[in-house]
Amino acid sequence: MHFQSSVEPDDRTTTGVVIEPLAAAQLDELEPLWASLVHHHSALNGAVPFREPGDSWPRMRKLYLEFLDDVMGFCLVARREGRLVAYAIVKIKGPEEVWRTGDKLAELETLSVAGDERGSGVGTLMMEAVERELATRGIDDLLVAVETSNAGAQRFYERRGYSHALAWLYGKPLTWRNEKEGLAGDGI
Amino acid sequence: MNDITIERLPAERLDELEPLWHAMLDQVVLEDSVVPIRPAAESWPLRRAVYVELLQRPEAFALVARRGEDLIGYAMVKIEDADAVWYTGSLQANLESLALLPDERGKGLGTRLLDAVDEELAKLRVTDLTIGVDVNNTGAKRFYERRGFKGGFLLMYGRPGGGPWTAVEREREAPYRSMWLPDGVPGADDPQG
Repeated sequence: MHFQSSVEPDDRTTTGVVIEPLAAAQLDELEPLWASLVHHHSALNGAVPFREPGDSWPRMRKLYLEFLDDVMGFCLVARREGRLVAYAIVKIKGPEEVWRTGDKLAELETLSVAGDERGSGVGTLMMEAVERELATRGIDDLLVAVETSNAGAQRFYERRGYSHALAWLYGKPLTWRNEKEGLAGDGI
Repeated sequence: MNDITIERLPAERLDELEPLWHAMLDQVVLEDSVVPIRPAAESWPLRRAVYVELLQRPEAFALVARRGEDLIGYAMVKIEDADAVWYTGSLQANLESLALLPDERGKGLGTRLLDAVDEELAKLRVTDLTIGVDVNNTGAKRFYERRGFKGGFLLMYGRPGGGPWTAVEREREAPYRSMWLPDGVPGADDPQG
């Protein structure tokens, strides 16, 4: 499962913000920022309900650990005067079977910015750092999953040159089983 | 539609799906995929490896539709543990592929296959299903929305740091060629499903 960012840059200062890698052993430092991201998304009232952060964090942590060995992925954090204000987690995989990507491609698994730092430019700083790291690794393709209801994040990535390519739809076929009886197939 | 049978395809017979996979790639091109796609000969071995891996999970399954002996469509369903972020049951399903032969589109075969997928999911007590659809494929999106599917997330693609997309550069060097369409090049005049 992918998760996505909630950032919109402006020209507030990013002076004093330091970006550095985070070792897998320090993953637990990210939990408050994860919770902040979930709350932000829940407030957008998308079609699919979110788990409470206390429920999702142990699951995400497990996912992160599967690829945070610095070959399959990496984690960058931003600190302002020592305080953790953002993190980005990137997974490296590939090649994509349908799209004509390079032999390796990256997916931005999560980009989270602390609530009081949104709009500060920290998100842009993080993305620039992610892109530099990918350039160093010779990876030329990046996928980013953005919640359908998160228009702000979509604009942020569009401004950086990324385009919508795939819509990931969600359904509960059993729950809707009865309702479906009245629906005709439209001949796909 | 009465002469059509739907059944499970055992993993050792995966290679039977290759022509249908090629037909699906044509369809992706016809529907104006945002990201240029791989030639079929390059794509199928990669896709096949994904299928082999996902079918190792005992709950996962492939359904094929046949008219007589002829394979005319398939659905591939991946089963995963509960989603980390969304509320799902303890298992969740993803429709990895739904592929139909070009002549079989528009006749309700997709609905038949999807209904059969739902039946299988009901037996497994899997209540959550996700599906990835190309953004420009509005026909497919409508089809799923009519079955109750809703927008979860959008997958965006690009080149980190800007510059021309890898996929576009590769497409320019060696354009996609169909193995099904007579002139090898899918175009806007071809029938769309």
